[in-house]
Amino acid sequence: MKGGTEVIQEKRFAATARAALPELPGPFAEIARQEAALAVCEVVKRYGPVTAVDGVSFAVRRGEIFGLLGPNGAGKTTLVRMLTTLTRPTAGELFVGGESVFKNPVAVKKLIGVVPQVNNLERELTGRENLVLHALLHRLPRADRERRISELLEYVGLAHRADDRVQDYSGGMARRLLIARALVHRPPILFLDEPTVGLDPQTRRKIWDLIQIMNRDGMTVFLTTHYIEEAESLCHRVGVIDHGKLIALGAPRELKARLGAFCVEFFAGEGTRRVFFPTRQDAKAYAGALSGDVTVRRTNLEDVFVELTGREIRGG
Amino acid sequence: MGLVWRRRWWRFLVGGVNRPIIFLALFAWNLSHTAGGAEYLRFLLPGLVVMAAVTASYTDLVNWFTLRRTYYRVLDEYLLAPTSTASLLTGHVLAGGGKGLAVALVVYLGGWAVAGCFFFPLLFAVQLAVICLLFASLAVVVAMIAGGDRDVLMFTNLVVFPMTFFCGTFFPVERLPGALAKLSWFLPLTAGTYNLRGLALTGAPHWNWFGQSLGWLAGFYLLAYLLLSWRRQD
Repeated sequence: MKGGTEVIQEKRFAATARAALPELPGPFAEIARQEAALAVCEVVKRYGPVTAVDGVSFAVRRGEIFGLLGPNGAGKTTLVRMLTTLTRPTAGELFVGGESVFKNPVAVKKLIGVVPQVNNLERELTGRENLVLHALLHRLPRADRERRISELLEYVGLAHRADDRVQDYSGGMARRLLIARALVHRPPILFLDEPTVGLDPQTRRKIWDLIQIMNRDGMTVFLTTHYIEEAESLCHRVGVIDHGKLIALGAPRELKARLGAFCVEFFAGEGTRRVFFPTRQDAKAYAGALSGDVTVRRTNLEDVFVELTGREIRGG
Repeated sequence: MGLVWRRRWWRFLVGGVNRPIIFLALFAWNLSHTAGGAEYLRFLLPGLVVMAAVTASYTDLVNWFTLRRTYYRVLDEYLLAPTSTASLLTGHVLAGGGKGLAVALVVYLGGWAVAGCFFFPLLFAVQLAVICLLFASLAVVVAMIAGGDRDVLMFTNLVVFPMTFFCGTFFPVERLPGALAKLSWFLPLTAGTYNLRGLALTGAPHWNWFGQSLGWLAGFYLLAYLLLSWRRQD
């Protein structure tokens, strides 16, 4: 693996963004802002003796779908809470849209929409009322409010259930409403914490489509996931996090290419072994020499994680 | 909060009025024909108004905050809004206190029908509002510290619920055993209850008691502000 070089490059990018954003005046500051939607610089978060995030640095470019991939408890949600002003880091700095998260949280809050992992909608209110509540909290003008809410309910396919109470919504509907709620104040940056966890495959695909449409419309998307398929099919770049440390960073294709594009998987007495090859021909040739149950397949991000940590993502 | 309350105002109103009205009905039924009974009812009504104010201001808001912070996580939605901590706190305290004031006034008006006429100077409404805001602030304090709804229940049962009985609501503080009588004057409700009763029965204000109430309100509001700020960045 050559993930270390990439991580160092990202640290430099983040540090440059950090140095440039607050100080550069006029057009230079604007250029810096345009380059980095988010910058995380040497961030540490400790809860007593537990280090949830351990010296993480990376930056997310404008218009990117960036995925933070890792098992449960890796530090993904803590990082999202720090980026969204909800938790203060023990050390390090975070910037969103060029604004320091803890020096100027109100400015940051105007720039971000947040879709949390849990359904935190007001269950006694209708879908429409939940969006009105959000619009009121974000002080959207009344004339704009109703038009925007109707637009968003159409956008997420909930217009026909807008006046039903949220307590009667399915999990997928609630998730779509959470996305709509996060978009009410037109934030340029959207955070999604495990956006499809617990959803059936069909609903998951619908959410993925929605994320891609939003990104096509110019939105920067930061999502956390422990679903390999989600990270691979949605994200332009992925950061792999484990035990609070960023262990790899890059486009999914690049990360996989470092191992080899094809994988031969077989049982070798003490457990399953994976061997990687740059081409399918090489992989097939190797597999042909083996006996027993042998699989030749494309390398995926799970393989990347296993190679880096010796564990599977789903195993936590 | 207003949107949610609009949906369930009648449940809140019935729940808030219920206990003081039952107390009033029971006492009226049993005491109105006894010697001194009518006088005691006139003493009691301001106490029941205070009880209604405390219960309605405190209980709904403490449950609102605690469940939304620890269970439903709805509080994050409020914390993510680009509003200051002072604005967030003031909005919630005004909403909680406003609801308490509405319930207490319903009980007060209901009491007139049973116990006869009372004075209703402007300062009565102001003192009542101060009590409501004070206990709404206390609700935020408790909700910010509590680990969950069981902690809230314990604090409510150990501290808030006894206060509604021992702060001059049902009988004069002077009749409590020595140490308890002194302790009662150090509780946030006693001065407010006495001033409210004085205003209801004679129309005359006691500025010392009013000042004490305001002091308690300022203290709890400040504490609530500090704890909410801490929670915003925990």
